Amino acid sequence: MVRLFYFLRRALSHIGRSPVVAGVTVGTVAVVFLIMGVFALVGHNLELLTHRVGSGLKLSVFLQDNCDDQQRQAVEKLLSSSAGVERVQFVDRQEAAARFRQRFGRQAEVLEELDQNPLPESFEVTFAPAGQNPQNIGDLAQRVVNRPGVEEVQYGQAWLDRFFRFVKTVRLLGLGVGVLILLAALLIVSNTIRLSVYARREEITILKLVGATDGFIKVPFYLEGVMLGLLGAGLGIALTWAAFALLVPEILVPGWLEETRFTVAFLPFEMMIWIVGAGAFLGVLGTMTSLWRYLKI
Amino acid sequence: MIQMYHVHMSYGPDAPALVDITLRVDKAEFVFITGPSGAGKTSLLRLLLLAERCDSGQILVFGENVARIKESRVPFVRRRIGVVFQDFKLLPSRTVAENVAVGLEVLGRSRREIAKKSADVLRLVGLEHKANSYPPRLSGGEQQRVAIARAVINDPPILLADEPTGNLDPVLSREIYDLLTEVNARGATVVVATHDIGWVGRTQKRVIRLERGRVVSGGIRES
Repeated sequence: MVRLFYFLRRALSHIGRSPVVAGVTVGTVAVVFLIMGVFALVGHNLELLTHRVGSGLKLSVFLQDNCDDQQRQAVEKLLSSSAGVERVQFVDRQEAAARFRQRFGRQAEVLEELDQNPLPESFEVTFAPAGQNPQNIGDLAQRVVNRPGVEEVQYGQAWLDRFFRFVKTVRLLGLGVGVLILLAALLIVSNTIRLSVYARREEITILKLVGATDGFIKVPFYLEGVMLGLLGAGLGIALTWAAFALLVPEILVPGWLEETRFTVAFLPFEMMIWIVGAGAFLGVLGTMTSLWRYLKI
Repeated sequence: MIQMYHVHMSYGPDAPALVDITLRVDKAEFVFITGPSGAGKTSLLRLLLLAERCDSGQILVFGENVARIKESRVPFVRRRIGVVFQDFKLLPSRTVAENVAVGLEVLGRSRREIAKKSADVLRLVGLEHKANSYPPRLSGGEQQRVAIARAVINDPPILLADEPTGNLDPVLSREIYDLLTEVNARGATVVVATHDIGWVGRTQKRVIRLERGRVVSGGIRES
């Protein structure tokens, strides 16, 4: 414990002796984490939106008029036993007609004019969270569509595919940009530590002569890197929050999102912890590359 | 305490620094290593300090063969060897007390113990009133006394000094020599490298003389 305080004091004195370099590093790391925060925010909200879309997803399996009980039972069994399926509900002709009337109101009178109910029997499949993705639903649709007694399968394929492709693209873009700017931040932290090592080369020589171990010399530099990373990431998250608090009510909510009744959420606490942790990790990595290249001891 | 047997060391194929060095320094002995510039005095001290490795031969320090020592063991041997340089090697941005404390900080001692021992050792070198001064504000002699205080703060059994009076006038040189004698009287083995032969001759201490990397006299104490 005594040692930890000693190392912390030394790391703080490193920062205190070159405040401008430390400030510029923290500022740059903060900007990097602001960009990351914005991407995380977009990603997180798309995730929420995906869940909302996903939980509303249903697969309707319409049966042929001449479908017999055996065929119907076989289809039901296949649906119930498939992965990710939460519930399979049978909708008979009367139920289908009742729903039709409820949905179309006066226009549904057209049904009364027909001799017989033209609406087919169907199964309505809802999915558990694990099964709420177009891949899973599409696979199940493929398997069930050619079964005897099945007329047609519907699940809003086209727009669903487009939506999930969009989410995937945004995610990939976020990942690519994230990796690039993290590399930039890594170089900056690494460079700051290199300057710190350079400024302390005499001290390092003396410490070595009086019997300091490699670890004793390196730990304060690691702590310095971690502090710069943590401060930068923390500030970056704070900036992201400020941008969120300012921009979301002003621009997003009164606009197109109001229609969807979807509330844009800020990053959850655990995600913020992860991001700040990434800042600390960045500090360690930056210090490691710097010490490895410039501190031959 | 220190033994070297047929030690060879070079800084490249055509630059031999030490050739077939055999010598012995006993416990609590005070020994000078003299010779002209380039004779190998500093190289010899750097070998003892484990700042360099020899090409061949054996070097025993505290009975341990440091010529073949593992890199991870080096700091632990150095903690038992104090060292003083001609250019003092003090940190200008740290106070005298902080400079002196470095040797104990490395050992992970408590702040209280460090404060007490720093005060003790500054008293030994007569600089207790300068504890809060910064080295650039001290005279050369005072800076060297701070360096000696730093070297002996953890009571090392061996003290090496490389031209400790090289930058000082005769009066200050005498002060430093007296201080090294005091450290020796407390039980430490002291090895001082210097080219100032005239001054050494008056001290009655053993002199190991080097020339062009070889021991020409005094390598083994005559009984």
